Amino acid sequence: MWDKTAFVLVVTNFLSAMGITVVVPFIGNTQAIFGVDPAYGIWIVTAFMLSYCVGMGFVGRLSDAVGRRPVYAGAMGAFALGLFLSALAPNFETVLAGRLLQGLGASGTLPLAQAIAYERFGRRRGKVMGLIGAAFGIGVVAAINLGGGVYSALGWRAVFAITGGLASLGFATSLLLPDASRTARRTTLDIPGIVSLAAAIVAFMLLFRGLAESPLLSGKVLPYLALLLVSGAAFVAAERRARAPAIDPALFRNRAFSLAIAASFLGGIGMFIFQTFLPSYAQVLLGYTVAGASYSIDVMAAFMILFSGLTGAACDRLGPERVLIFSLGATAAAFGLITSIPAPVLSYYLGSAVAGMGLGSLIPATGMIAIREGGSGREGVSSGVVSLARTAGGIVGPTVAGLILARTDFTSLFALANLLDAYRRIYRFGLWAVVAGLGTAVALLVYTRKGADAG
Amino acid sequence: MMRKSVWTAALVLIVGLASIGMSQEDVLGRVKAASAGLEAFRATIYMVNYGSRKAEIEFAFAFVPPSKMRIEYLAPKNLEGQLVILNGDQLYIYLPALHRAVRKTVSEGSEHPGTEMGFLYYFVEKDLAAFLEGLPLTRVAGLKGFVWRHGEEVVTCRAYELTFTGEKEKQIVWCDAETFVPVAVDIYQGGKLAIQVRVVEYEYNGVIPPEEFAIPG
Repeated sequence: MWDKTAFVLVVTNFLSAMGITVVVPFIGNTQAIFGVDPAYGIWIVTAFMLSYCVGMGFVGRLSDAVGRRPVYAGAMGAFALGLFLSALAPNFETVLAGRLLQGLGASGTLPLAQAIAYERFGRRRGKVMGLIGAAFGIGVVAAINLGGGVYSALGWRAVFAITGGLASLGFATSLLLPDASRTARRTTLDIPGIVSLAAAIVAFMLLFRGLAESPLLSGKVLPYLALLLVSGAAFVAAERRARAPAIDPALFRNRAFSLAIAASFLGGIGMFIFQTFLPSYAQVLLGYTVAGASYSIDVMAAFMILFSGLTGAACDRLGPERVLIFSLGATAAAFGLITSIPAPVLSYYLGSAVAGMGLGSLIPATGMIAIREGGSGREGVSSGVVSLARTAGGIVGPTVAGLILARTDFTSLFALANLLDAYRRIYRFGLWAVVAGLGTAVALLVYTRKGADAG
Repeated sequence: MMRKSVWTAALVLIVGLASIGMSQEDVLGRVKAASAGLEAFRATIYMVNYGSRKAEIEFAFAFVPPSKMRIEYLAPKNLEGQLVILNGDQLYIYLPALHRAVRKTVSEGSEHPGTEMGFLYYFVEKDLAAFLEGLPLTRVAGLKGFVWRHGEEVVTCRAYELTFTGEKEKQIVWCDAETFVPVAVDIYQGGKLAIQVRVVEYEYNGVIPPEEFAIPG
């Protein structure tokens, strides 16, 4: 199984996942580093997520048309360039430009890697997809560990420069992918769809930022609500009209595909809530330092790695639907454990371990179902849509969580107790999202079994 | 030593005799007088919040009216070093668990962190009139011993028990029989015990250096 292609896919996904969380150690210090307001400083994350989502809307289709290798290598190259641009940035705006480029580049790797693995590895595709998912999970966590250490020792430019160096190696490695591209065919970029999707994402984020400070019926909220509705409607209209839509509405006529996308979205909410808030929860609950909290999430990472590999193979044997049920069931159990066990250390580490089992199983299972149901010739776009759905969950979950945190009363004498309550509310929100995803996964299993029996 | 004990016993006897037959208004009047005469207050305070989950805190409290306050957390362990400083309209909160500092300008009439201490905060802020507007005095129980456990230690004092009852809230306050300083407050909301405040030790009108209220740069 360890041929060159699998090696390249695993290594490059590890590196591109680092781009998502490499800034986590200094998110809270943007004011001190760049001299910008914290509300503007958070765009260091927002800019990445924005282009990451937008990129997922078209890289799959582009690679279906012109071949996987050029798009994959181009994505890794853009990712590395973005990191160097941020490292050398003379001001915060240039850092953001670099982050946009990083997000665009990173958006190409996971969906394309899943599509390549699905096409190339036959009955071992689950194993390889599992390994790619594991590499992605390790990258997310390793970047927090590495970023924390490098930032403390050498500063923020070094964080981008060192990650950029690693990404350059990833770019070079991606050129080793076999050029098994299909015959190039003409395709068009769905510009109206991409622009309206980007506008909807920005409007959604600004809407919730406004809600953190102001009521719904206020000048800081209503314009973004209007923009969200208009851009959402424009996106749907654009996708119906486009010859080569970013998100092909025809894919959703397949009920199993739609259920897989819904499960991916709901699982994404749980995945990103758990990963994003775990380090700061450790600080509040267990009194860990920033460094200690960064390392405490390694328990979750270890289980993610282990279970990505195991459940990837289980996808091949038992079918991805059963693995998806396991994934969402374990994640729901993790949310339950971390919020209900009274002993803090036990609840934290047991919850983290069980979350690792569940989250490590999500990417290969949803990817495999979506690509299978999307049908031949549309592997890239199907993989892109399922990744986009998970990432959309990753925007919705932390954004809602941010709203809950923003409403915490820090001026109370019991500020930290209030904060712990807020974290528990966030985790309960994650629990209900994942339980809804579990219901979707069960419906998916029932539906596909009925289809198999009928067939 | 013997002479000091005799004087102390005599003082307690005098206070006790003077207290016998004090009316509800007399007791409240003495508490108001103690509040009005307050120039500085330093205490160690233990609080319990019976919210969705029970939370206990202990902190060193310093206050100089009208609006200089310092709260430094002593327990639990993960709150050690947490700091709240109010100096005029400037509020500074440092949460070491998150390495996070919150700076706010407090507008007049807005709630200060200390208001969660209920009657005690209004007492040190010399604003009992505002408190009584919302929660009038409804009962004063006679002088009796007030005892509570603080870890291994048993804290005792002779105190008056005052009950203030509003529409949605009730506060029972125990005031030291010698100084009329509040030493314990139970705050009931919706008929349930919401917050308990216990003064472990206090110093009334001692000297508090102004630099204790300096907001970090």
